[in-house]
Amino acid sequence: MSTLTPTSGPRAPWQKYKHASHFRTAAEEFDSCKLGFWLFLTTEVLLFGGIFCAYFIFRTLYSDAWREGSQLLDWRFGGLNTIVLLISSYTMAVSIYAIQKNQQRRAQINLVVTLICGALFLYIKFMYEYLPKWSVGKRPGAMFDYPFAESAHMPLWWSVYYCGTSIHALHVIIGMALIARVLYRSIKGHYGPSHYTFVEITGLYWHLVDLIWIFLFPLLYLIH
Amino acid sequence: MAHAPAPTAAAFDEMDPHGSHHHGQHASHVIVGPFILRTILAFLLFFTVLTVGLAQFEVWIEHALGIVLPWWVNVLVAMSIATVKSIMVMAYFMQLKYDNPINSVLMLFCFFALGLFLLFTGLDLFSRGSIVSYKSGPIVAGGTSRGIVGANNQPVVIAAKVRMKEQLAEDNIKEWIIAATTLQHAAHAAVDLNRVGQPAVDALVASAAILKHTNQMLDLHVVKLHPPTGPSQAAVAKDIAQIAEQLRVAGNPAAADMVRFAAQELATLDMVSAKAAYSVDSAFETLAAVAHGDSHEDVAIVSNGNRSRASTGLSGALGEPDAAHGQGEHGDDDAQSNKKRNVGTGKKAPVIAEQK
Repeated sequence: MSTLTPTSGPRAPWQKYKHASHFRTAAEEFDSCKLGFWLFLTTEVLLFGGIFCAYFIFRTLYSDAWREGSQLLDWRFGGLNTIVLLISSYTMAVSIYAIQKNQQRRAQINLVVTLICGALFLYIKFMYEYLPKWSVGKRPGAMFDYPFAESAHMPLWWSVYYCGTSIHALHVIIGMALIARVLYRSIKGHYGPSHYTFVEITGLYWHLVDLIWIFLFPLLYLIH
Repeated sequence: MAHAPAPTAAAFDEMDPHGSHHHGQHASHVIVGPFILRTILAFLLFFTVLTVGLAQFEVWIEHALGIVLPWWVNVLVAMSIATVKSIMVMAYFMQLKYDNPINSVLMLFCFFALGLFLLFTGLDLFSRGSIVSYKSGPIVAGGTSRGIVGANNQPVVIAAKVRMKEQLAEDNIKEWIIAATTLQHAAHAAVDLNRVGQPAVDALVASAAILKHTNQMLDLHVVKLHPPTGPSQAAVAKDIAQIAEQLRVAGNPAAADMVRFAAQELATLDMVSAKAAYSVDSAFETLAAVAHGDSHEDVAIVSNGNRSRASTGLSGALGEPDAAHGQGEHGDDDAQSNKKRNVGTGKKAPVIAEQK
C-alpha cells in the first residue's frame, strides 16, 4: 500500500506535472500558491472578525438579550459539532500526509471521512439547530427582521447568531466542494509527493473553517 | 518532540531562497507525520472538553453555591482556551511551524489588525457614558447655547422664545399684530354673516383674500425680520381697500363690499385700548398657529360648519372663551354672535385678551 515512488510502469499524472513556466521550480510555485492563499485566509479571518465585532458590540450594549439568546442554544450540539470538525481537520491533515507519502488509497479514504464529517456537521446544524427554530417560525423575516422577538434587542442576537452560523455553514459547504474536487482529482491520479498544491490549499481552507468554529462555539454556546 | 516521520525544514539559504539549486523537491515540503497529528487532535479534544466543562462548572457554581462570577471570567477563560486551540491548529495542522515564516507573520498581523478593530470599538463603547466635565459644561435639554450672542446661557429653545416675545412687546410690532388679528376677525365675520347661496361664496372669497393677506402679515419671519415702521393701521386698511377694489373689478361686488367693510373696521379700530389689552403670550400663540398653518384652514372649516378647529389660534386669542372649547358645529355660536355685534356697530375694538 505504501510506495514512495514507483520505479517502473506508466507514469501517473502527478508525475507528469509541469509547474507553470513563470516559476523557477515547482517548489517555488508551491510556496507562492501557499503565500497567496494565506493572504486570502487573512481576509476570511477579517470577514468573521466583523461578525465577532458585532457580537462584541451588541453583547456589551444588550447583555440581557445575549443572556436570553444563549439559552436558546444547546451546548451539546455545539460541542458535538466542534468534535466533528476537529476530527475532520485531523483526517484532512492525514490525507495530505498520505499524498506526500504517495499512499493514494489512504489519502482518498481520509478525504472521504473528511467529507462525511463535514456533512455530519451540516446535518447536526440543520436538523437539531436550525429546523427546530424554523419550525416554530424563528427565522429571519421578510426584511431580515425578527418579528417574533419579544424583547427589544433580541433581533440583534438573532442576527448575529444567524449571520455567524450560516456564513460559517456556507464556508463548510464551499470547503466540502473543494474536498470533493480534490477527491475526484486524486482518484484520477493527479496528486502525489511532488505535486499536491491544491490539496494543501484545500487543507488550509478546511482548517480555517475549523478555526472559525473554534471561536464561534464558545462565543455563542458557552458564554452566557 | 523528536519523531522520525517529520524531517526538519531545510536551513534557509539566502543565495537560494526557494531551494531551486537543490534537485530534491522535498526540501521545502515538510511532512508532518500522523503521530504528531494524532497528539494534536488529542490535545484539541481535551481542550474542547475542558472549555465545555468549565462553562458548565461556572453555571453549576452559580446554581449550587450561589456565587456569581463577574462576566469577564467566563469570556476570558473561554477565549483563552480557544486561542490555545487555534494556535495548535495553525501551527501543526496548517503547518505554520514548519513553513516559511512569512505565512506566520501574515496571520499574526491579521490577528493584530483584528485586535485593533476590537480595541477601538471597545474604546468607543466603554467610554460612551463618560462625560468629560471640563469640555461639556452642564448638560441641558435643548443645549446650553453657549456662544450664541444674547442667549444668556439659557437653552436655545427658551432663549429664542424669550427674544421673540421681547420683539412682540415692541410698539410698532404690537400695532402690526393687532391690525392683522383684527382682519382675521373680520374674515371670520364675513364668512359667518351669510351662510347660504352666492353670498356664502362671496363671503368665502372675501375672507380668503383677507386671510391670505393677514397670514402673510402674521408670518413669523416677516414680523421678526422686517418689523413694520410707520402707521401700520392705516397702511393695512389701505391694503385691504385695494383688495376690495380688485374683487369689484373681478365682478364680485358683494365680496368687495364685505372686504371694504373689513377695511373700515380696521380703520376705525381703537388702537389705544387694543394695545392696552394686548397680551404678548397670546400674540405669540397666534403667530405659532399661523406658522403651523392652522389659520389657513379656518375658512374651509368654517364653511363646513365645523368650528372646532377654528377655535384654535386666533379666535381663542380674541378673548372668546367658548370658542376655545368649541366642539361640534355650533360650539361658538355665542362667540360668533359677539363678532356679529362687533362688526355691526364697528365701534367696539376686538380684544386680544389674556390667555392663561
